[in-house]
Amino acid sequence: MLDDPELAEMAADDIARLEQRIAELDDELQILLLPKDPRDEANLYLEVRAGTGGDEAAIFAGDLFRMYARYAERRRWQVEILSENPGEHGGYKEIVARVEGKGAYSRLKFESGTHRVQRVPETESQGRIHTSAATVAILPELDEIEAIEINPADLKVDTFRASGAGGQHVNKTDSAIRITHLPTGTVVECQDERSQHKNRARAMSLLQARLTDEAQSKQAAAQAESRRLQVGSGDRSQRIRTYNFPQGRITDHRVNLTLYRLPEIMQGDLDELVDTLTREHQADQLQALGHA
Amino acid sequence: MKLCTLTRTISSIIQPALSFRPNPGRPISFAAVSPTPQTPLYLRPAVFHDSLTELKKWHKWAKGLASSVGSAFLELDNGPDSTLLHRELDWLIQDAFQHRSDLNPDESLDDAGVVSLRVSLDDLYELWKQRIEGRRPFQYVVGCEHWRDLILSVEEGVLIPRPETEIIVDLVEEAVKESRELGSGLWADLGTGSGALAIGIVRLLEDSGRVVATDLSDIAVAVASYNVQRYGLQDRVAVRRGSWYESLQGDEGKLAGLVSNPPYIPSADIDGLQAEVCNHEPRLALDGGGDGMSDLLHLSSGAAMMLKPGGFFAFETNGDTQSEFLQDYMDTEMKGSFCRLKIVSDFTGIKRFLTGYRAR
Repeated sequence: MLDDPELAEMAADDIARLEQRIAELDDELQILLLPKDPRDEANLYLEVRAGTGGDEAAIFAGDLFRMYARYAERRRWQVEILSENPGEHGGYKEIVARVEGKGAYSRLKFESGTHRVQRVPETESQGRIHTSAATVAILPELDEIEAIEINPADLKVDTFRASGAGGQHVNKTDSAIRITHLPTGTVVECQDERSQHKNRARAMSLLQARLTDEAQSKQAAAQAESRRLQVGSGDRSQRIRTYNFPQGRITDHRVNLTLYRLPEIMQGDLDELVDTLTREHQADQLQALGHA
Repeated sequence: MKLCTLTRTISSIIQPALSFRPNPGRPISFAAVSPTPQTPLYLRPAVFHDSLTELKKWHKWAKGLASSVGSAFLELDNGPDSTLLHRELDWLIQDAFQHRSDLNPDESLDDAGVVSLRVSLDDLYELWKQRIEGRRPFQYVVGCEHWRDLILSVEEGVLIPRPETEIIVDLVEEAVKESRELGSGLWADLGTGSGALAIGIVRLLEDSGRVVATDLSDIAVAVASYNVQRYGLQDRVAVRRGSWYESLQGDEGKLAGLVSNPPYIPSADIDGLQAEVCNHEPRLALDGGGDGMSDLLHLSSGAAMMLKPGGFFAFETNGDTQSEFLQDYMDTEMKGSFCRLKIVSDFTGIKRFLTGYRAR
């Protein structure tokens, strides 16, 4: 049979094609064998805070929040704002929201960190380009089993109900709750639920997520792991991304990815970015397994 | 100066709204009010349609009206400020629109789009005017109050349950956990209003646990019954009309638990309360007599007779001096009747509640 040159050529083609296929399947298999992040399906708390840069940073924090809200909408996730502290010229000094939906954490977990913006701010009359920043934190919502024990005696609960007599004297729809965890000084607020009871439950859940995140960040720092993608409990001060408006580009510094479609991305078209980060993260994991 | 002008302007606007202010000094009669409870806005069918352009116009007007208040109400009578009113506007949209996102400027809906509503556009204007110019409580405007995890129907003539009162349910939960026999017994919520406490409590009891909810007002009885049915609890919560223990005759010494948020504001203080409360909420549910204690004292005396040995009670008070006075009264004047009397503070640190047990 090998004497038939036509057949030999066909076989050689097949071998080359199938060998490539083996390599592909091998990669796929390895990815499938990777330990799955048990939290990938979790809902999450999204926190966006204005960093350096004053009003412009707050406006940018608002732009980032809108970007995530639109991405969530595309994915049919529910976004519920827990608390917001608006900036003086728009946007937010801080906004905290809960995101609920299929695979929400798996898609957003690489977003934690400092996001930098370069553009001419709306508030700038001279037309100069400014650099400002906002930080994003993505905290998975924990189920009851994972939740750490919080001693009620360690909590200080404040309401924003008018100081004064309260009770029947006052009828205000303000049922916001602030909980301070005294040992760590962690403060959480929830103001957007329509009953105080629900605000309290939501604030407690957020506090759980924060305390767990803080504990894990410490642990990760202690292990001094130098992964490129600090997932979830990453270092918030790490600058992960730059949004350059004059050039219409977005650069993710962790994976050296630059995309020239900033307007679409700000409209919530995050999938290409997220897919790349997910792939790179898997590559890192594979490499780590190889070394082990 | 600015405040004075604004105050005068506002009071001149609200003149028509004053027509539904109860005549001070005269007990309110609910006989004229229809005993058929209103359906809360969010449960009404979305049978009205209007263009997005018109609704955006309304939204802009409503936001402007909310902003114009600034902190004037807050300074005048501790009423709501603009921040709070803006949030209420969002909630009104949440309840009145079939899809709240219809007003969202990010949405792709073009301005020619048609939006489905649970009230007419005219009513939206009217409702928001009533809220701001008439100081009508937001919960009456939308016909419901979110309380704990419940959404309760409320309307004029029924006290809007307060967030402080949510804590009574927590207190009952602790008591039932500690002593399981309480969970299978008969409980009473006296002066139930919207039925909030009765509904909140019955869900903590075992299947055999029952609650009797009483109120003197016909409209409260109708609204509480409506809420009980909405949560499918009509087999476990009986709503009865009557003053305090009046409709519990025959149950002396049988109650496993007793809760009440009775009127406790001293009569003279009522006219100084924020307009939402003193001009719109039922005086019957607020006015506790000269020192605000008359109903609380009546309830305390009755508790000794109605509770079974080991039975639990929780009362809400005006705070601090009232709860301390009541504790002292039950401890000394009714010596031996009660034990483990305890004052519990609300979240602002006011000694709001008194709890205790009937001595065995």
